[in-house]
Amino acid sequence: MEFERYLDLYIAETEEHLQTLNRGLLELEAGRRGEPLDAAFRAAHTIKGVSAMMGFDHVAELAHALEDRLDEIRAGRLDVDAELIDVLLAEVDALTAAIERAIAEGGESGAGEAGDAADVAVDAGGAPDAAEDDASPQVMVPEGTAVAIRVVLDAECALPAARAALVVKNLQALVPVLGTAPAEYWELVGREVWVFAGEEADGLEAAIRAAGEVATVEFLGPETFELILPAIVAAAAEVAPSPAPDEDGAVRDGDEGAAFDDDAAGPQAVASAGVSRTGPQGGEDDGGTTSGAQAQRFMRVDRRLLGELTDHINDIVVLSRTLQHRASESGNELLARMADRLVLRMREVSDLVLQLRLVPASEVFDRLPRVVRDASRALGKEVDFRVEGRDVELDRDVLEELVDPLVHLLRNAIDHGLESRAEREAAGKPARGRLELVVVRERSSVRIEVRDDGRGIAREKVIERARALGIEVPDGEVTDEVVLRLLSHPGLTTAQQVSGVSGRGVGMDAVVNRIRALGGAVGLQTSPGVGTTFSLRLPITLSLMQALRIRVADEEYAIPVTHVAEAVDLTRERVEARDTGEVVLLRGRTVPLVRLRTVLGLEGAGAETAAVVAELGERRAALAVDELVGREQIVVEGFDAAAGTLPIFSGAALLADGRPALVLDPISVL
Amino acid sequence: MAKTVLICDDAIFMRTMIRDILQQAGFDVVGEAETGAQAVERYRELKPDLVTMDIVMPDMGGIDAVRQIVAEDPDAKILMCSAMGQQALVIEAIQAGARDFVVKPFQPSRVLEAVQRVLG
Repeated sequence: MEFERYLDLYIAETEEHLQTLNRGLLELEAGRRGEPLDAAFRAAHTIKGVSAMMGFDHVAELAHALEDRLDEIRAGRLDVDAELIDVLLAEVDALTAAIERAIAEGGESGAGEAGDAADVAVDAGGAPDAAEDDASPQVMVPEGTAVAIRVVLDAECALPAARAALVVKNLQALVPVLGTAPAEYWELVGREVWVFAGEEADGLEAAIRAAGEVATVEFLGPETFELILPAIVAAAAEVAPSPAPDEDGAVRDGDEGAAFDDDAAGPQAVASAGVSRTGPQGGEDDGGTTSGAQAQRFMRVDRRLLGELTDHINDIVVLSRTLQHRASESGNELLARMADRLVLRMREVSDLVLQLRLVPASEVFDRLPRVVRDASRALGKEVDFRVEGRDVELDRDVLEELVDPLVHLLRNAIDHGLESRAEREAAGKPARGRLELVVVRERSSVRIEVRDDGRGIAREKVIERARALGIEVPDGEVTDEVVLRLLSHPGLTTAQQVSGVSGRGVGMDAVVNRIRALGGAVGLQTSPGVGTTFSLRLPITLSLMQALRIRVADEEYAIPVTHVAEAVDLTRERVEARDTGEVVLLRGRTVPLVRLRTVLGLEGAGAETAAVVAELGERRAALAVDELVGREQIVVEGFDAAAGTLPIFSGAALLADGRPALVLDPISVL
Repeated sequence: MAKTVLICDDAIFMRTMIRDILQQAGFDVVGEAETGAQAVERYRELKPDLVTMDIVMPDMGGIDAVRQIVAEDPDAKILMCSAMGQQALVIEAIQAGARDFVVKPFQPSRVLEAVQRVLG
């Protein structure tokens, strides 16, 4: 078996199913059964199957155990309480870890040993060891038997009872079958089964062997019946214990004549312990299956290929613009027109690729309820967690980058934001804390908010801590912006003790940096006793960004439009000097003016005639530049900044005319 | 002419594996289904020489699908692909009309043996 080839499929498959498992258990905890529980059962079942195929036997065992438990729950044979849920979730975690190990090690007992049926434990649908039957089976050769057929199955036969069923079925097509030993062959755990036929006929052996996995076939006539009785009794004793009565309460009797009537209660009774075969109609939301015609509309895509495709498309987009630029300078009309059309087409292509990269937020955010649940249990808080906007579509890579920051913000909210039940009740709040994750798509960006209705951030404590650490605190009103900025200093935490859950050194500074590195921004709004909201604003896509090209002295830079509110003509607006610095008056509001020439240390002929107004939450600043060159799509690449580089650059890009430009992060200028 | 096959399993991993085994043995995989309902539909459209059928699937399980397919075409040749611990369900599938079965994890040789038995 080509291990490598299937490993990727295995990874994708199990990832999906582990999520389904978690979801089903969380639903179960909330008292809800139905489809999510069924889906969780199927998920465990599938993980078992595919893990066995990969040779990951330990993983398959764990999955099998989970599958059985979930089945018991579905059938109502196992009561559900909080402790059981904890145990099951822990089992899912163990399963997840085992899968990761198996993948990392490239197999448990070595790759490529999958599929050896001899290693598979025989499972006859019941406990294979002790036969705890009360009544010993009465076996006699049925009246009228013309030939007793002894069939011995292959040693490696994994499901002997099912094989026996096929043997009997094939024989029934040729001769009347009066009975079998064991009487209920669906309980067979041994290799030997006797079939008693009412007639002899040609072709019986062929029909028996056509059932597969048959080792020996022996035909014995009536004269031998007395002699073979002991052998028949021995074979009949090799059965599994009788299963529980079926749903109708009917208990099958041991009468050999009633054994394999198609209407008999037999296998159906046993099968009642099995799968609910007709699940509810309508779509599942585990992302994997849709019904009917819809399923043919979608297909799975290898994420890596899509990433490569995106990179190539981005390069071509930039190349096409360069071409357009040169073509327009060449004086060749035809060439220029063709280049224009090319640029337009490439724009459409890159939009399509961006569409392909979009996935619903739920694909990644569905992991979060589990995180919230575990954190709230660990911290002894009661939390109602709600996600709004699961269907909002985002670039897959952006989503992945968001997970860590969101997890930090959520844990923070549970740890420091939300009060204990007692505190909340004393404050007249609902006993359970409310935590919300809201995702909203805006025109060229997406906004994600983490809201809690907890105690809010204590401004005074933050200021105190900041001063103690020697961080400069601005005079005047300490706005939410200021609080956020202070919180973003590494090392600042107002928690009395750093709890194991949220204080792992992943501080607010890491969150802010990560979001900024993505070209986004973080905002804070907090109110004492009422709650706190962290808002993250991000571009829709990471790779291809809309940017404003600006010129400062002789240098060109790019500013991502996500942060730009507007651009203004400095020669027209009024600029005034204040104590705090220069400001520009825009429609009655004063906006601080930052001269980029000064910030960048550039000199040269010319003057700053335009300004780009950047905004971050409530704060705005006008960045004075020499010229606004234009707007274009750029591909931002990270870059290794040389020592001494100003920390205001978030990357580098190639402009349309082929020249490189540094990408300015306006927030850091603010 | 190569025999045609319809593969029914809700795990893409399994469908891929079975498809590879069969294609390498010269079979023509003409369709795939992820649910029992899809299996019934595709069978009607494609009338394949052989069907491989998983038991546990959403939106109609394998056994009901077997029942329905066989009801509409008594000559349908269906091979059940069962996981461990499903013996009773396999028996039920056989009684519903499946011709044979293989157990996961399976070796290609066993699958092909079973396919030969089913196709006669």
